Amino acid sequence: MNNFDYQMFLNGNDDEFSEMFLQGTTSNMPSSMPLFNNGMNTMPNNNNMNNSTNNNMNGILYTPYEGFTKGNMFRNLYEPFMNYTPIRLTPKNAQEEALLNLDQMHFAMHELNLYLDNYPDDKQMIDKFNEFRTAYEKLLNEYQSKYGPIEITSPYMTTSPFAWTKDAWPWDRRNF
Amino acid sequence: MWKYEKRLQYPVNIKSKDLQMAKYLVTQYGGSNGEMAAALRYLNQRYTMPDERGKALLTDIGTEELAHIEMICTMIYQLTKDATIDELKAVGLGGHYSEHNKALYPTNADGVPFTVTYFATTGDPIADLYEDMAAEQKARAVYENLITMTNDPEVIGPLLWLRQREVVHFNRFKELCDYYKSIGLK
Repeated sequence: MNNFDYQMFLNGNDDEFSEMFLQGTTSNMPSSMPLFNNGMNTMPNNNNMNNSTNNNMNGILYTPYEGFTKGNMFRNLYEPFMNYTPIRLTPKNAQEEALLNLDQMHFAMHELNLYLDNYPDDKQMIDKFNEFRTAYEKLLNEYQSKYGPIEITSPYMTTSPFAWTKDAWPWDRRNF
Repeated sequence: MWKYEKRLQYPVNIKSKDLQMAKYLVTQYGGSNGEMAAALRYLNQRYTMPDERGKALLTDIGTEELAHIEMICTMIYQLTKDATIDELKAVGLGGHYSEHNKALYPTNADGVPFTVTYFATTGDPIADLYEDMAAEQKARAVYENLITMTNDPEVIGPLLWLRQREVVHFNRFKELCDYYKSIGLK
């Protein structure tokens, strides 16, 4: 189950779809830039991230965007199906991009949560979890301040009509 | 206690009606290897896990399965919401319409309603974890069958993603099972 040769996958289509996302959402990023050197750089709106702890985790984890599109943050566990490749998630507007950022950071945090349930003494992974958690809380606050509540505990609930019922429900959203 | 987040775990945005696919897909809502069975299986088994690791992992994966139910239901809803009665009858969903109109209802692909006999619990953590590992593998196989039954990338995307979650969950359950065996639990 764990014997998948992820190097082969990384040398293949992975570069291609990461670049596509970069072209759509960030600027001035050379397409020849090595992937996974600095994980957080493939994620939009990440200017405040401290990258000092990222390098030594890159052999283990995908970046939040790559992990989210694959459905798996852990390189050693990833198993593609036949010749299918993950769908490239390309946000069409600012709200979709904000939600994608939120989704992928929550996913990265959740993946490390499951790992840490089994390996509660892995301090390096605990640090990484908290890095994702801090980034998630910031992204959550940004999203909720602009586009409405994700959680009922949103600090932006004072408006009338009641903000919780104003925005479309996820199954009606027809976008991200 | 649970907290609802007003978003899907992974985006679902299906624009093309496909009633036949919805009829197949519903098995991952209310079928024997579906997400409802998974959520209830883990959230039911977690109380008698022998330590904090097991209680945490079954709670957290069980909670994620609730979000997968929401994704599958969203897919079925978007695939069927614009259907006419004649279109529903044509794919064998007339029976569903007569009972439920276009409402969601957890059944397998043949319309058999969900039942708790789809999962077990023994109180034996090793036996329960082997069931959980088998359940993840069976759900992975069903997702692969479903992926090969459609050409719509808006359907394939979330199905590929959900399939990969089965892979991750299988490995986490296996790690926990191996750990329990290593410390002498039978």
